[in-house]
Amino acid sequence: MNDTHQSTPLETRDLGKRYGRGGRWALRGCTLSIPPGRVTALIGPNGAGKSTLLRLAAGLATPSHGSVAVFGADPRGSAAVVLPRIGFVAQDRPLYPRLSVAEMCEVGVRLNRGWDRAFARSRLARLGIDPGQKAGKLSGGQQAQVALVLALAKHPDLLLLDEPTASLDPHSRRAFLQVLMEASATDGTTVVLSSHSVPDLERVCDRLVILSRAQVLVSEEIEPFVASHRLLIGPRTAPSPVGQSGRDGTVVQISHTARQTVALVRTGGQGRHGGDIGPHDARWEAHPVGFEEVVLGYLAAAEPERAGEALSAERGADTRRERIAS
Amino acid sequence: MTWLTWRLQRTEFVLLGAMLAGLSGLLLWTQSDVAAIARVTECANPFAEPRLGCGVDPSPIYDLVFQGLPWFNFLPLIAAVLLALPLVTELEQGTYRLAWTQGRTRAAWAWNRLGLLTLAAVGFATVFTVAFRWWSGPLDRVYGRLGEDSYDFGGTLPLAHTLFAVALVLATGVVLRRTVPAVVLAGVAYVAIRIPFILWVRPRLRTPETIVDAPATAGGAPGDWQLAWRWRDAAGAELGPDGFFAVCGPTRALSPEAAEECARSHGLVQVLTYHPAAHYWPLQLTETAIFLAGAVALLGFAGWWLVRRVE
Repeated sequence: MNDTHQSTPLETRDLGKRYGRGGRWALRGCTLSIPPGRVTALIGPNGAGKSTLLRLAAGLATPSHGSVAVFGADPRGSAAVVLPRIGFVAQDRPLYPRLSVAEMCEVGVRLNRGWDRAFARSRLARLGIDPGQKAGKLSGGQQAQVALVLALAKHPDLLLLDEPTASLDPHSRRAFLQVLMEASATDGTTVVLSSHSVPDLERVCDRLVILSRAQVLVSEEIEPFVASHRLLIGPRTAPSPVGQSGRDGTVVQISHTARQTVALVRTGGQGRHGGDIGPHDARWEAHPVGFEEVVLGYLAAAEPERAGEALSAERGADTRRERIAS
Repeated sequence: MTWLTWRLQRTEFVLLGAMLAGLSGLLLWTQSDVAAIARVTECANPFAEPRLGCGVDPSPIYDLVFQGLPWFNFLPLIAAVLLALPLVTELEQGTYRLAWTQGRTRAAWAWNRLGLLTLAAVGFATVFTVAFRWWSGPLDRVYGRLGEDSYDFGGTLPLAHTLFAVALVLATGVVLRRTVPAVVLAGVAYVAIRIPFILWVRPRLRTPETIVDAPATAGGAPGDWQLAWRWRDAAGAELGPDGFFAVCGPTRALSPEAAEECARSHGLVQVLTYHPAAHYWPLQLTETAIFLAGAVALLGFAGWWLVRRVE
């Protein structure tokens, strides 16, 4: 076990999880390495394996195949070493409903060494949450906020958040992500957060993992990743936009209307400033694309029949695509 | 950790305490009746119904408690459900994920939770046993402690039964992770274990004594637990339930004297098998050991399942 290995917050090798003997694979062949100090978005539709991956990382579940390491240690076998270094916020029921907010803080103090009560107190005060309030009586948004504050007061090296913004309205979501960004900036916390909703994530996250059907499709830095994609629009009859004239590139997703063909294309590694991206065939136009469209393109290609339910931002991306196309 | 366990179970602990206090109150209330009945029963016929010909008129509350005694057999189960419910609810609702991702390992968590539940069960059973023993002491001195109105509520059995019930509810709870099915299943299993045990296993936990050719009026000493009267023929073979009638004809057709005469002429003798009062502790401790072993196995299983299998 060397230094770089130990400093990798989360590393998985061919990680697989199956519930029940002969059951469905919730996660399969997952090989990932999450570098320190980054905020990683784990994106995918419901049932893609996001929660499973986070639970495996938190030691709540045991791998059926492969391995998972948190700072070089097995989160299940070496729980006593790993647990003090991680923060985990579960998707639903992140708090004891019968306990007050103040009592939840007491839980933090009593179950963790060096739990930062002052930090929690000031954060909660800033959020305007009454410490005497029962956790079960708080709104979904407030519960998520309190759960985040409790996890942050542990000052974890790795923070795992399972769909933390799912129950939040847009305003609370922004406030939540704001708190998260500040904390990761001040503590240098490595954050992995799962979500099936794309808006806001681009602003907060600098790495992206796309999961679909229990498998990892993409695990990359967001900026160069997005910059290496183009939306190509051409007449329905035109030949495939890539693979012509020796140009590198892969079609991620292609869709046709009556007259037009729209293709999301990943170019061959030039990145943002590669400049010369696009088809040589003059009938094709190349457009830069945004984060959401790239993510949606991958997901739609992976599970076309589920593309509609996959992401709440679908509608917005569609209209933009139509706008570009017309 | 202990603080959290206490905080999460507080309501149920208080409910259990209130139940125990109420029960003790009833026993306290009716203890004078028990003492009075025992006193007159002692100087009159020890085998008469306590209320008959004794000149004692016990309070209606005493009647209620006395009629309710068989229901005391459910107390371990009720205590077990109250004690184990918060933990099962936690598994059902998913809040255990919060506890298991703090700084303590889930093994530490499981030890603490199961340990405190065990302590609470011991406390409950001890208080109940002491209260009941004090209440029924005067009657026990007359009737002995082997009767069904006393045996299960004294000695070490309440403790063994309560721990067993707690372990049973916990074991089904951690596997099913749903409160209602777990409570129903554990309740049915508890009754399905206890009743056959009382009927068939308990009398055999120690070889009973026998009295051959016991006079028909004899019933062993007061406080003995009579198991069976059987007829034995001259060769020493036991007759079936109809054996006597096969030889002498229906009893109804015979006067007692004629029946006795018939039995004597055929060499038939009656044999009484019974547990004397001295068997009380051997029987108690054997049953206690069996239920405690069951409790330890189930608790160990629940702990192992919590630490290894729950995800």
